[in-house]
Amino acid sequence: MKKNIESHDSLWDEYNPSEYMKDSRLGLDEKLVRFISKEKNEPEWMLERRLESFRVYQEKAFPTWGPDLSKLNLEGITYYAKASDKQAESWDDVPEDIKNTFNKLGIPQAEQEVLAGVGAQYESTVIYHSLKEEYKKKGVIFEDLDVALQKYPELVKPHFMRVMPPSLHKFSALHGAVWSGGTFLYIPAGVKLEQPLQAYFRMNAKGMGQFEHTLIIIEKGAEAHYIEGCSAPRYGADSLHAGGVEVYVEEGARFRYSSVESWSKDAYNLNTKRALVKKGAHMEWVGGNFGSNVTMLYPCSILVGEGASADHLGVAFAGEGQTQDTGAKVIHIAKNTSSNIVMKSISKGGGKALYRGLVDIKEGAENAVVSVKCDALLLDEFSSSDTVPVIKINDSSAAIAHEASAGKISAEDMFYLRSRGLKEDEAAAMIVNGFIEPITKELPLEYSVEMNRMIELEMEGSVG
Amino acid sequence: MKKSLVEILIERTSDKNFKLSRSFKVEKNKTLQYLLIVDKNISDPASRSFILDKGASLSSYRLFLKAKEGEFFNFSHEIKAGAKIASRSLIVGLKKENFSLKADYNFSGEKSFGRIKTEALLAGEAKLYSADNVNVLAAAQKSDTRVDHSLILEGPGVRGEVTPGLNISANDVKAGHSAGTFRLKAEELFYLRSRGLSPEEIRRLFILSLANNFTTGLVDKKVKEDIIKLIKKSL
Repeated sequence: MKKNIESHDSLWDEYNPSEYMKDSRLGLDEKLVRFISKEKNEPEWMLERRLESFRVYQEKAFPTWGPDLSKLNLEGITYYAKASDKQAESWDDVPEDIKNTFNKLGIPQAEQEVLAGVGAQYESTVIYHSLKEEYKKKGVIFEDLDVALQKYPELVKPHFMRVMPPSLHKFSALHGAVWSGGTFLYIPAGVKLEQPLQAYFRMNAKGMGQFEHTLIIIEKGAEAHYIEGCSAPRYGADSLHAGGVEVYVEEGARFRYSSVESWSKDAYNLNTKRALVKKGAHMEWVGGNFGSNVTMLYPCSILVGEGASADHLGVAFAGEGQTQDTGAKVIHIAKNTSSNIVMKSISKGGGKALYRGLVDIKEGAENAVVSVKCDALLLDEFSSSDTVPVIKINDSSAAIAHEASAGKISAEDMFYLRSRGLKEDEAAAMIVNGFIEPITKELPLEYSVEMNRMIELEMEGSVG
Repeated sequence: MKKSLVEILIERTSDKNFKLSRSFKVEKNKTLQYLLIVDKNISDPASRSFILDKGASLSSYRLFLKAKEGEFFNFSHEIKAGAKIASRSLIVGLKKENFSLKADYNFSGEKSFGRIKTEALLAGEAKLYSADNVNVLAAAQKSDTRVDHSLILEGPGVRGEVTPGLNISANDVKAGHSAGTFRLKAEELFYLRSRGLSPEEIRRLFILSLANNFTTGLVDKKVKEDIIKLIKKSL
């Protein structure tokens, strides 16, 4: 992760020439689905699943709720583009222009300093993947999912799109049809990773679609932390990210998934993330959503084992022209499960932030305990914030507490900071950083610093 | 400006003249206390619409004791500048009632004020769907709104779905909502049982305490007594 950022736009908006795009095409049909599968030399069962997903995609309509997606032209998207012919095991082997992009994002440096392993995806394919030797020896698998499909079909096949079926919605079906690249992470029973793993997804070309699939299996009693970062340059043409994340947290395991999404402000980020949490296991989602034109993202935990628990922590920043429709879903199925949701949103310059949540206590989920807290900060009179929390209770033993608030930066706080010599936007940025501190403190230091810096950059000129 | 006396309007679904759809306007600086008692099933969905002019005040009390599947109450409110609304709903379902309620509160003017509270006690196989949407429009700067849901659920057959929505389009506002489920703690239950109260008597006391809270702000003592009697009768 790069530490010294000169400007938000100058970092993410730089892009490379994309000669490889001449081999790709716009739009989606069955022929392209078959082509992707053939290109990757996939087993027959995967082709069948892709075709089934494509069938569901064609049948499903756009969501009838949420942000306006009517301007998203699915025919104007490139669904598959291969920027590099082979995956590198060393940064030296990565094509120079792509390597430069990741250098600017600080990925190789972070790998050396703090990470157990790194994956880097550029357009539709993973161009670099590595895992420290000590973790390989412990049986940890950290691969590009395309590679894992060939090497570990016995692990991939029973889990792939099981907790995130194509039938969920139109974009999960689309994802199932054209997914490419992504991460496969397998932590054997009892193995505890002290350092986090990271994957970075970069869309470079104009009108690109990225559909990486992240499949994570944390075996009994294992522990790990995985971080995803995402970005894309701005072209003034729509791009689409419809990734998928599936996590299986087995008995007694603990897993933290952190992500900081900084898509360009002409990208549609329609992402799906779901976790199946077994007996006594714990799942944590920590997320920051900053970029994109429209984001629809509601990480979901399904608590199927007795004593399973989940934490959902998220922050969304909606600036000019942006809609951040984010939230959390927790489905309590087993007894004695618990969940904690903390969401923060900031709206500015006409941005629209929404918290859309679902807490679903199924019949038989005795003694479920749920806490939901969501706070919204509105920085000007043009912005808006909506909160739509749905609470379904089918077991009367549940104890649920939901609390939400919305407001502006207090005049007293601003006065105090100004009296200490801070400029108006510095003071506002400090208050906003304090507002999101419950989330940033859960991120690794570098991401936390990064998120605070992004807030400061977004806040420049926002007051007065 | 001196306000007029409080006007009181009471509607009961058991009243033969009960209308399914009605609209009310509370005029500038006037105060209305509105009470709806749902003590008989209605044949079709019902709606009530309120417009609160500048400086008007509405205290809305809604008591739901009867409901069957397919029944639906839809409430809408427009609250203009300086107007105030205090809405309190009590829902008691002990058998197979199926309550379905939706209420929109549109705060459209500066310094408008709202407190919306819904309490429900469900037992047996009672069901509740309740959506309260507080919409603070761009012009409603310096408004102060809050919506709270409390559910007390007893028994394996009850079902509840609540959505306390909060849609804010103005930045200089105070707005909050909460929703929660509550049960008597084991210690509290033990204490009451040790005083010789049966579970049924404990529930009865609980409902009566909710009823007392519900009627606290009602102006007319006779109406208060009638509501308590009605709730006792339903137990």
